[in-house]
Amino acid sequence: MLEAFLSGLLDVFAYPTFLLMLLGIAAGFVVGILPGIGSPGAMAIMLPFIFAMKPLEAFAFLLGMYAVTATTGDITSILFGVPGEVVSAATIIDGHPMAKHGEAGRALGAALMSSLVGAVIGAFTLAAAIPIVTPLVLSFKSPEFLALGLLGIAFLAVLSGESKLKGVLAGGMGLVLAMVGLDPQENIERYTFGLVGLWEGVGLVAALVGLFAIPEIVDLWVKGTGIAETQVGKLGGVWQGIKDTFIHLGITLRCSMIGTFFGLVPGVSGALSQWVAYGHAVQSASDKSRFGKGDVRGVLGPGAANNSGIGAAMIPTIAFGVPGSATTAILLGAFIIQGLQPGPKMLTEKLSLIFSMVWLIVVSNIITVMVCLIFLNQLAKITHIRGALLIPALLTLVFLGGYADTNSYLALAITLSFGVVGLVMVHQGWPRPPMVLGLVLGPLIERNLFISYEVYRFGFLLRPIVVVIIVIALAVLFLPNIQEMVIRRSALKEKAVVASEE
Amino acid sequence: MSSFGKGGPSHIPPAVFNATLGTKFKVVTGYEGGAAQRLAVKNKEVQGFCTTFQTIMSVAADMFEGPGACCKVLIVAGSEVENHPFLKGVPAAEKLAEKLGKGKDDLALLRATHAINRINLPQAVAPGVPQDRVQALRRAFEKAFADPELRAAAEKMKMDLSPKTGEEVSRIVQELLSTPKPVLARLKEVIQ
Amino acid sequence: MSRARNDILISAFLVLLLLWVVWEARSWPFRTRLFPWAIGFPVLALAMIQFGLACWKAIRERSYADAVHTHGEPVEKADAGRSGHQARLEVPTGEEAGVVLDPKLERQRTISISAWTVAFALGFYLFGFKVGSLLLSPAFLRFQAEESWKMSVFYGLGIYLFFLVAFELALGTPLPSGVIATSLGLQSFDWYLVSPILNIILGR
Repeated sequence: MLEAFLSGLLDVFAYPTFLLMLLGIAAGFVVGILPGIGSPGAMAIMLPFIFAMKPLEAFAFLLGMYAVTATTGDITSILFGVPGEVVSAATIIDGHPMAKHGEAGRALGAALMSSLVGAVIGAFTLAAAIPIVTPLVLSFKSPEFLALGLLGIAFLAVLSGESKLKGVLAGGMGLVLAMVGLDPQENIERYTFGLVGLWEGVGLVAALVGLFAIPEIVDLWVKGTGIAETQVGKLGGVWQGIKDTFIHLGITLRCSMIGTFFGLVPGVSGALSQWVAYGHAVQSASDKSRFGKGDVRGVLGPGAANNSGIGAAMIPTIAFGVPGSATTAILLGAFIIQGLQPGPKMLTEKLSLIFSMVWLIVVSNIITVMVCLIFLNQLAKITHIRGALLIPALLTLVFLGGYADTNSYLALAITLSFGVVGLVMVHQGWPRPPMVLGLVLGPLIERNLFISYEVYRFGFLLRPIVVVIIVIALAVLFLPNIQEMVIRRSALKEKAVVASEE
Repeated sequence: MSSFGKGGPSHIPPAVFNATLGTKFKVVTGYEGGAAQRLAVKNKEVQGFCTTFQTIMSVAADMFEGPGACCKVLIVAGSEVENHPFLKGVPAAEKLAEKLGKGKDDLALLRATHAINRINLPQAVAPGVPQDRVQALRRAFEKAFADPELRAAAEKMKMDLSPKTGEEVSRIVQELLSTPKPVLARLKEVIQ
Repeated sequence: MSRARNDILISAFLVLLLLWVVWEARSWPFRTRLFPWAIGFPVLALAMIQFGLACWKAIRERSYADAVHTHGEPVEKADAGRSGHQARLEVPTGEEAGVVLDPKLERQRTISISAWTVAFALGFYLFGFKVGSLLLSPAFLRFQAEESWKMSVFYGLGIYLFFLVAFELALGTPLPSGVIATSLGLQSFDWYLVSPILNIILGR
């Protein structure tokens, strides 16, 4: 096993594998920055090129692209408030306010370094999990997926911030919007108004870019300034962001584990893990006052979670041929094209190739960080360009992103509609993250609720992992209130002691 | 049995077998795609799934042989069974129906549903395209499938390339379209 | 319009919407109807509570305003002073971000940029992304942002070239040409001009 681990590393630096990895990184860089043109679409376009390649060369190219897109997706999230990838949406909440405060460099540095830490952890989890992957993945069935969805619901309250009722209501509306389309049980149209374009739902990407990006564009024009409203000097710089990753190493590592866990579970995408990671970052902070206004921890959490999921999502793909996400579904296609059959045989006969994939993820993330460091300060300067010059490009990218998800003109209308919703929500102080989380959770919960009931009846509630996850969900919901009660009680006690001494 | 959704290719065959052969498959819909259906079988949440032989050979062979083997083929739709180790002793649905003495209606229903399975990944053009262009496209497809490079790539991917000519597909489609209305009505009822 | 009154309108809209959501589901089969009702009814209840709270808040704000007007004394606001331990999960805008704006100007700018956003969406629908951005970006920069013609035209050409090079040439995925070109049976408006030039450059 050690031999395969080391030979896997050496193979990555061989010609032409290394060159193809660099090419993949370059392609992933561009794709990640374009909102809505996610890694699944880009990798699908690149698939035909791998027919002529050997297996390791093909995966060097594809994984180089895959490993980079989540990192670079954070760049547009931070600079423009436009999610470059679905998994980069949570980074907007604190990353973009940091850019507005002139701390774009710091936010970018934090996103980059936390992504690298997350990627390394996820990749080595892939390596370490090989002996135990089978029982690990097989222990998750529909009730466990449902419980994870309920855990996500618990985080709705966390993401609601101050206005809990509005937040939970927004999350509820997200769940309602997720019902638009054909129902998964009977294939009956629900709330589609007879439009075939809505059969697959409203489209997560169109909703995301509309909800987050359009209000930012409006704000940019209304303010009449650039994205950054103030200059912060060195404190706003990239190196500060890199240092922040290690100052708050606990959050980075814990959120990496969250991303790894969600990546491991097939069918539960990174779209959920980023919000759980963000919610955890908020909850675990003693002073939460800066979250939503530009707290660097709000960038570290999702940054680490996104990239750690990459390596972990490879596990069910390689071991079972069950893709953990849309991107790994494309990678599964690559396996087939290369004549590799995912399954237990791959874990024994192709161990060196699997370890090469681990090293590819690690090395491509290191190269991405090194390259980005050269350009990040220049990128951060974009925040000082006049808003008027950015707006046409941003509007184009926003609508392109919405369109690219479903290749339907209806997506333009959906993006616009969610833009209006986002504007109203921002103006009236309704939090938007819960709505996004509701949109992500709706299909997961509905599908798994029915399957769980059909197969297990109510017995699914007594499964051990389900019980553990539900306990965690209750802790997420009620622990902050209990903590606050304890703090208040001890403060009252102190007051009483001081009063009696006087 | 895991299945994607009602009326889909993983739902219709078991539902039709229940109605014609007396099987008692309980079809659980809602699984998102073939991979999720197969995972549900691997982790023993359900006891079976319905898929094409092509899929088994390209992504699921390990479920039928080797250390991870957990399944065996129970029944194959249609009237013939391919010669393959996975399919040794497996009955064809139409032959089984005849053996069990099922009536003409049951056989008609089995044939109608299998017609859908006989056309995999059809390529069609819009109505009104001139016949000479249709013929040109058909001949081009036949040439492509006979290309040694393509065949080698398909073999590498463990894909079985058994293309049907455009004329054969048209014949199957006509057969399907001329399915008697009572059979279609029964199929609709069975799927519900 | 005050924020409180807007909250009432939004909550009322949500109540009506959710009533429609649960009503619409009544004729569906049980399995189709279950999730919409399981989510719809609790969310409807929450929306009604929010509506009630919004009305109550508006009434309180009115009495506060009346009290100040009558007595000239400051009255403590109920929701003054947010807890330092609570996170605020929204991007601060306008005043809160430190940029103070005249409300009339703010409204004017909001309306103008909203109109341009709709125009961009319509433009992409009618002319496609390439030609749409070639037309709309210079139009926005020249007529709304009052940039020079030179800047506006070069900017538009830049975006057009980006689409041409990145999507059509590099990725080989041409973007749709818009509803007008499609209905006229054209490949795209620019194809007839650009394609011969590309053929010469690329030696095709």
